[in-house]
Amino acid sequence: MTGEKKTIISLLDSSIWLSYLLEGKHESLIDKNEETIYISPLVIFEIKRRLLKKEIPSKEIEEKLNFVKQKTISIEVSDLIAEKASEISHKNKIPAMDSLIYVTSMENNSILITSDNDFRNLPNVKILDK
Amino acid sequence: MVTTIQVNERTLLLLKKLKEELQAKSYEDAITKIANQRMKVKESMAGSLRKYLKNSQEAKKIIKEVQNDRRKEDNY
Repeated sequence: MTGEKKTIISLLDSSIWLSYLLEGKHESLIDKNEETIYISPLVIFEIKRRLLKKEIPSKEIEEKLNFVKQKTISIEVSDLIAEKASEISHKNKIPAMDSLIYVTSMENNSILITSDNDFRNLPNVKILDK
Repeated sequence: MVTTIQVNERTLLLLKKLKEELQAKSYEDAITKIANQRMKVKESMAGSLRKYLKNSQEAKKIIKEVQNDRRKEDNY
């Protein structure tokens, strides 16, 4: 139908969330996005571990993670995702975490948005500047 | 993928009412609109951790470390 707004469902990688929280980038993807944003629990793991390493106060970490969880729908890593990720990891020589996050996005018909160049040449990935 | 959910009659009536109020095209559209409204967080957290950085380059360093960790932790 002409003029109909196209729904773009995205899964944002850790690099995007960290850049948003630390640098204030990618506001349009998060604050002004009215469409569904997916997240992988693996992304939550990476964000929290990195903030813990940076020794950011636990209350502040909790606040940021609550915000992230409120803005997103978490997609569990299923058996199917694990199996497909192993195939993609083997075929494309990409790390386990990358492939699990990528397949989580693919299996849910979303676009993976990242600043990680390891994902270049893979379909349904949008790589943003760091 | 399309799936089926079960709701009781009271919930269905509530959903019908909300569907009309929201002028939604379908129940799915109504549920999506409600969920999006619910998840629309008022405030922004953009740059809210900037105060913990030593300099402007540190954020890029942290993000790079996350990417390097992924490679290091996978010895396949």
